Amino acid sequence: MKIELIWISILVYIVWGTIIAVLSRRGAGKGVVDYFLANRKLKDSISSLSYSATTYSAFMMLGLVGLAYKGGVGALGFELIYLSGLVLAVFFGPMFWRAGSHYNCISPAELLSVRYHHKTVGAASAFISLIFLIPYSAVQLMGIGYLLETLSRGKISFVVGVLIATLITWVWTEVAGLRSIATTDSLQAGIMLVSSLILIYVLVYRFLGGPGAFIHTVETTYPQWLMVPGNGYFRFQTFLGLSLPWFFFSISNPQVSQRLFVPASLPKMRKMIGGFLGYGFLYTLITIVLGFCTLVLFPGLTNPDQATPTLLSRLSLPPLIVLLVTVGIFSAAISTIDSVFLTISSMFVRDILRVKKEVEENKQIVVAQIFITILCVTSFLFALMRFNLIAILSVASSAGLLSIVPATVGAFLWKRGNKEGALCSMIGGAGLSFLLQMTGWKPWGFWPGVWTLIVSTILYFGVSRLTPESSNDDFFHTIKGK
Amino acid sequence: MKKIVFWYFILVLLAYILPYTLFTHVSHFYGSFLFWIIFALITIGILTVMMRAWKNEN
Repeated sequence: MKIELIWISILVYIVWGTIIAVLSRRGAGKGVVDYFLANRKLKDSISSLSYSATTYSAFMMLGLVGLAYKGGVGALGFELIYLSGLVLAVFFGPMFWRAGSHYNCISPAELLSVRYHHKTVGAASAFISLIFLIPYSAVQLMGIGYLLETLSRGKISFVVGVLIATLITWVWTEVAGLRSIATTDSLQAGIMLVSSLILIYVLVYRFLGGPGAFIHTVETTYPQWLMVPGNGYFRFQTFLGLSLPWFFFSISNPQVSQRLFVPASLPKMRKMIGGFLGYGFLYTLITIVLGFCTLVLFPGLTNPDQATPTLLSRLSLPPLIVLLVTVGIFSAAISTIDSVFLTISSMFVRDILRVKKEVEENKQIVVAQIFITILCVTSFLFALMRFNLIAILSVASSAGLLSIVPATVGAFLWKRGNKEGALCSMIGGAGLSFLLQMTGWKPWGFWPGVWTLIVSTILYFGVSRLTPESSNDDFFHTIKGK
Repeated sequence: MKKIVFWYFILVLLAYILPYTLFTHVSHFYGSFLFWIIFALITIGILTVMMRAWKNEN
């Protein structure tokens, strides 16, 4: 791949995205609701595509392809179980939406503060999200660094790749908040899907002899990859450890659950989630098949995260396709990081900064913009540490965020749940998750996410039962709707 | 709604159990691979039905 072509495609992507981001400012208001939630009014198609692009990160084309390459069909099960977890968004979505509109909540943590009558609950949730989402964002940056380094055969160094991604994220987030993020996201979602579809088509028909021959090759050469535990990678504990945190992704990851505040009405939310379900199913299938394609074409890779970059750099693919796929992966990473940064910054100003005293709306936006810059620098530095295994790090982040789930579910379903229970559950669960992940300890073979969920659930119910009840009838009346 | 959610979670449980029991020795695409795809399509169908009840609210 000629280095000039790579630079030109990156440049076109940056210029084009920046123009769209700037144009999205037209008609924008000035308040925090406008900056963080696009005034709770996004077009159906944009909100659906943006939800998809935010959810599906570079993990899909790098981490998930690598997982399918290494462990086989278990990767498909893991990701489709995640998709089935959207039942939580469908079940709790209307409640989120009603409470968000009624109490003017901007971040999911703010909703917890309202429900539990105490700002420290929201602050704790915001702080946990901040701690666990920085590695997740850094992993996305690393994905771009590795990809550009491999494709350019080292001419674009890992550091330069990470720096480019960080700068794009910074600009596109700062320009107009969710408006610029959503419009760039929706176009990026298109690139992600189209580029990966074209790649699969070319691989299967040009290099693997068509679908029939490809299926036959996999079944005869790699039969173990079509079963679980199969080749041994997807032991049940591993499968559960990977899939459980992701099943709860739609309510545990604030950058996604915050989107439940955005639609103007419930029918619009239906379109957002419905569109995402179709997109997610197709994109998942493509990435898994891509993993199998790489397995057949390039067996024996030592680092599974390099599966897609290897495919792009070592196969004689038309340069245009390579560039399109590269931009697609770029898009997947950027569209996730910018949403994560915007959400974390909203949680910082709404839930952490306002614990002690109220802050003016204009100041909130200024502080959020400064905080986004700090997040960019922190994630950039974190990415430079080059931790191994993109998939595992991504799941580790989601495992930590599981500590928020019992307090979130209980907020809607259990009137007896109180702030003491919520705080102990979140802090205890997150602390345990952090400890298990730092030590690498997996009691009885089960991953940190499993223990995080169990312990934080026990703490939530146990502590709420043992401490005085504090009812919030207005909240429960509000989430029921009319 | 509660009934649907109950059966939905049974379905999710099956998505964990069947590939590790019934399909654990089926080394073809019509084994776990096809099962998980059908599982996903059914869940998408159920979710679509659940969302139909969402109406405009003031």
